[in-house]
Amino acid sequence: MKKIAFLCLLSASLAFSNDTLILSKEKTYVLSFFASWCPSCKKELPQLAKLHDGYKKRGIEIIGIDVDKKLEDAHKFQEKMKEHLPFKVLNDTSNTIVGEYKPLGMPAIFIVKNNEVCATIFGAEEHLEERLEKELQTCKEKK
Amino acid sequence: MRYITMLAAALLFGGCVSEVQPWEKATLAKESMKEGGANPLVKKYEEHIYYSKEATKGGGSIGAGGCGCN
Repeated sequence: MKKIAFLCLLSASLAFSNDTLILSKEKTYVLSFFASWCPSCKKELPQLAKLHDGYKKRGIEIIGIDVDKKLEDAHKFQEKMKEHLPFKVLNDTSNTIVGEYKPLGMPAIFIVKNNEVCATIFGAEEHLEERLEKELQTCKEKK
Repeated sequence: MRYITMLAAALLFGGCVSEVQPWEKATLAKESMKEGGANPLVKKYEEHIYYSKEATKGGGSIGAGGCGCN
């Protein structure tokens, strides 16, 4: 009986293990939503990884948000894509974070400035760097 | 009685109409969810039989994946 109770507690804690997203007002963030089952996300992540260092110098932080409902799937995918994930990755197993942003498709990128979404990119972009630069410029002009 | 039945039906099937969000399409993106199943050869054979019998071709699919990406 104790064993069953322990297993129930363990599975419950695994199912609800969710990271929280805390954003500072001073920084600009590039939030990238992805999942292990999304083929286009596999194409997008290496492109984002290349931009990570340059963005860091400019004070722009990239945060990856894995929306996989099973933590096991998320960990497996992140292990496989390890070299393409130099930035911070949050596991959104309960889909709380993604539920707040409500992207229209996967992968999804949200540029957040002053705690407000100022640009979005849905679906994988072939020339992501150019598109992101354009959107970041728009965000800068918006102020 | 009719209203009670209607209410019961609405409560029973209410969950069936909830929209699948783009981030919830993990199951739809599975290989096995493809039209014709996971094996592309089976679909090819089925299409071949269909086209031969109907003497027509095309219109059997849409150009998109299950994940809502591109």
